[in-house]
Parts: sequence; structure tokens; C-alpha cells
Amino acid sequence: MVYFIGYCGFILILTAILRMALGNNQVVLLVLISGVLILMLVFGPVFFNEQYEEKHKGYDFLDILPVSAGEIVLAKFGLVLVTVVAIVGYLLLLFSVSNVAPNDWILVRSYILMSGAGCLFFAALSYLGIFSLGYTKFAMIVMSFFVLLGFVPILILKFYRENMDVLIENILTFLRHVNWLAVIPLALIGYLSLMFVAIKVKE
Amino acid sequence: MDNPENILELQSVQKRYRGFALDGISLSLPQGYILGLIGPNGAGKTTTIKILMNMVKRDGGNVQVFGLDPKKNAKQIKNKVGFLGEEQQFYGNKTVAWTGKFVSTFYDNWDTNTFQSLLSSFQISRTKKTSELSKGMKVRFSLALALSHHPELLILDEPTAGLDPVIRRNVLELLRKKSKNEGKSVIISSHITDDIMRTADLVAFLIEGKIVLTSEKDELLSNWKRIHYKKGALDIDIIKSLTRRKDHAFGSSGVTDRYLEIKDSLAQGITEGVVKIESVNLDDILISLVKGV
Repeated sequence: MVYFIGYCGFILILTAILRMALGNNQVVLLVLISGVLILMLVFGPVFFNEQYEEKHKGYDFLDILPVSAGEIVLAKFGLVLVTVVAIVGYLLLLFSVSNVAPNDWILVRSYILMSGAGCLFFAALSYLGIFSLGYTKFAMIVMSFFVLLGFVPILILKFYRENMDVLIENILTFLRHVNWLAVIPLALIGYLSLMFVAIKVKE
Repeated sequence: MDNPENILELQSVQKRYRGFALDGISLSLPQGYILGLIGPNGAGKTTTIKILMNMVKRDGGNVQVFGLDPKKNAKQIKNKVGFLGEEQQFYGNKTVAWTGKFVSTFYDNWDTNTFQSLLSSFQISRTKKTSELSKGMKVRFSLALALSHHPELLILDEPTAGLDPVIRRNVLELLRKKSKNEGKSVIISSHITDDIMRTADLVAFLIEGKIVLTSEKDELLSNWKRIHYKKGALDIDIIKSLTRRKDHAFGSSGVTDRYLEIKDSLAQGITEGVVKIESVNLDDILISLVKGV
């Protein structure tokens, strides 16, 4: 809750500052930042909590209590889902009242929804990884992944140096054509499927 | 359950690990009894107990606790079981009070008054962080948590390991009282046979993944005796049946596991002073059994 309120306040202040400094046109930049922050807001608590569970052997403690592995997984996945829905809802509400141009609004909406869906997907994968490999091993893999991720901008620059505009236009076209009504159920179905796999792994 | 009076039953339970296997364990515990599971380290005591709690999945055999299979009904079973493991795990940065409140949310039958009164009698401060509790305090706190939902069965895995003798005695006394006064069933595993000697009604010896002997404790101790004898005082058949035979300056000695059966034939030697009978403890029996495996 504290994270969520902090996040909302941060975005609200950032919106106000950017608007004063740059005007409404820069709202797309803010949306991009928000999307990245969704990931941080969700992954921060997921990894923090799992590190805490491992440090205190929390799952061993829970193992002796009358609570099933399914209920534990359900609670964790439920919390992530509620957080993501709350953040995505907040961002959509914020930008819908921010006088965004109609063309930009399509992009904003798609981007925020895609960020939320991606966030759910990666959170589910993280739990799956942690439940099957343990926190420490999985954290090492994630860190290696982020190191590799650092090479992505270099690769993009290498292959698209001459036609960066084309790349950006392709991304924008993709976002404009995303069927945002389909993104929500697809994200939910994918997330719930991964949750059931996680329950099986935890059991 | 084959016998409805049995609160738990294991039949031919198997579990295989690399280099170790529980090999067809069968056990039962009637309501209101204390069963001591004795065995050396690595014999499979913890694995057996974890199978009862569904913390380890068995590979074969049947297990019933309160007539339910732990694999399918772990939650219902745990609701009626008080568990105390060899190591006590808590969220270290949380207080005793927080932990009690957290645990209480999982049980249908949690009794806050009992919890508070156990904390008081164990002299555990509610405001202390669980990481600040000593080993003895942690065991007593775990016991308070395990008893506050009025479990019908207590499962204790090496509960006194690492405790000083005073606290050990207190913990064992409490278990004895719970069984005798409230009819609770208890299964307690330990390699400290003295604990079992003080508390158990029934004993089961688990060695290298096999139950090699189960019996009522008193019957066991009546049958297992060390016999000291002078040369020519015993029949050769009796001598051959003795284990842990030793020859020393004053004669020989050995351990029998059928004293009540041979008692009459020893009577004359006892009267003549050439045969002496000495009680053995569970340690002696365990050692005899380990050497016999």
C-alpha cells in the first residue's frame, strides 16, 4: 500500500512538473517512464518478499501451518494482480484527464496496458522460477539477464542506426493497432495459467 | 483406518533418497498414548514425521492421520496437529505477539487465552523479537504455538535437542501432562533415549530406514535384561541367545530380549548367587539393535 501510494504521488508530481516545463506534448515521455516504473513497483516487492521468505525460511514455517501451497501461491499472485490492476487503472485515469491528443491517447492506452500485461507475465515467471530454483539461484539468473539486457540498446543502435525513425514508427504502428480489448483477457488468462503451473510446482 | 482407535497409522511406507530409503515402515498410535520413535541420526525419523505432516511426499505405502491421507487432506490434519520441529523457524524481525497473531489466523480452534497463559508460564515476553529468543525460549514458544489450538495430536521431532536439562525436563513434563490429563496423543522422535524413557508409553526403534522393534515401553523393559553369569551357570542355548556378550574377570554377561520367557530357568542360579539380573535402558536396547542390523 505504501509503495502504491508513493508511486501514485510520484507520478502525479512528475506529471505536473513535466506539464509546467514542457507542455502537454511531453506526456508520452511520461507514459514511457510510468511503464518502466510499473515494472519496478511490482518487481521490487516480489523480490524483496521472496528474499525475506528465504532469509527467515518462511516457507518452512508456513509448511507446518494448516495452509496449502495452493493458497500461498494464490495469495502471492493475487497481490501482484491487485497491484498491477490498481496501477494500470490509476495511470489510465490520470492520462485520460490529462488532455492527451486523441492520437496519442491510443498509444498511451496500448502502452500502459501492454506494460501491465508484461508485468504480470514477468511476475508470474519470477514466482515460477523462485518456486522451482529457490530465490538465490533465480536472482542470479535474473541479474545475468539484466546484464544481457544492457546490450539490447547497443544491438538496436547497430542494426537500426540508419533508420531509427523506421523502428520507432514500427513500434508506434504496432501500439496503435494493438487490440487493447483483447490484451486484458489474454493477459489474465496467461497469468492465471502460469499461476496454476506455479501451484503444481510449489506442491 | 483399520483400527478406529488409532489416531495414526502407517503401512509399508516408503521413501527413497539417494543413499537412503525408508523401507516399508509400519506404525500405529492409539489415542491418548505417547509413542517414542527412537533411532540413531540418519535413521529416517525426521522423514517419517515429515511424511505424517505431508512436508515430504511418500513414494509408496499408506498413511492415515485421523483417518485421513496427509497427501490429500494436509490442511485438515494440520488443523488438529501441534508440530514442533528440530529447528524452530520464525520471521526473525517479528515479535512474539505478532507471530502468535499471524499463526492464529490459520487455525479454526485457536485459543488466545491459552496462548497468553502459556507465554506467561513459559516466561516469554510478548514484545521480544523472535530472533532475540534463546534456543530454549524458541522451543517453548513453538510449544506454546503448537498447543494453543488444542491439537488432538502432537508431533515432535527431536524437540529437546540442544536444550539444557532443566528446560528439557519441563518440556517433557508438560507433554506427559497433556497426554495423561487431556488424552492427547503424542509422537516424539529422539535419539536421546532418556527423553523417550521419561515420556513414552510405546516405543518404536527405527534403524537404517526400517522399524526393527515396536513394543509397549514397560513390556520392552521387562523383557530386555542384562544377565551376569558365572561359567557353567547358564544353559548353552540361553548363552547363545544373548547379545552383546562380554567376558570379564568375574564371569560373563550378555543381553536378553526374552527375560520373562527364561526367567524360571534362571531362578536357581539367582538363588545360588551365580546369576545376576540387571535392568537395561533404551540406550542399551538401541545399541544392541544397531549392532544386530
